[in-house]
Amino acid sequence: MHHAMMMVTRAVLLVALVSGCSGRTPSPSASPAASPGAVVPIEPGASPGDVPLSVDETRLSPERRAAFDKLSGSSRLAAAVREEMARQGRVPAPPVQLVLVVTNFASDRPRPACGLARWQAPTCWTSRRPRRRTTGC
Amino acid sequence: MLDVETTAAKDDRVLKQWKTGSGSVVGGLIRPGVEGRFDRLIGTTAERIVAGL
Repeated sequence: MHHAMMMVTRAVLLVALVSGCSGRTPSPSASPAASPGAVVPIEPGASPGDVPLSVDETRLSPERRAAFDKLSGSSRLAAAVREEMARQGRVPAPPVQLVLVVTNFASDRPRPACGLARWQAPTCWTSRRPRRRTTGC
Repeated sequence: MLDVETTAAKDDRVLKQWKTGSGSVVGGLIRPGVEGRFDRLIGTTAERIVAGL
């Protein structure tokens, strides 16, 4: 009886483990195709310049929007997308139109994470004070 | 970082909607200017947008 219950428990654990692994999905940023099954018709001979494309930056905060505008973000993003369409040979067939909504933007240099080597994050090393050990001894 | 939500529409009907993001490291830790980092962000984002078509 005990042996049978152990076998059942093991089987349940195995199924849970397998389903957990197979159910893993990549993050949205890792996989750009967030809608499996959706089809955008591609026309290899079409010109990227003919694709209606708009950039909406209204979701950004005023400060980030100003920074994005200062760098001519909208026009540069639209131009880069058209250039990439030509490079990858993936141009949507007319009359498909694309709307790009900029949801987040930060232009400042990323701060180094403390815990990196001295040459990677000198500010962390200079401002760090030695920790007092609390081992209880 | 630069996050973009793209919608492909045809005749007022949404065909597909997908999100792409470029993390802060994509811009580069040691790249000298803002322009250079922004160019790289834009390029990476555009590449991912078109790959999602």
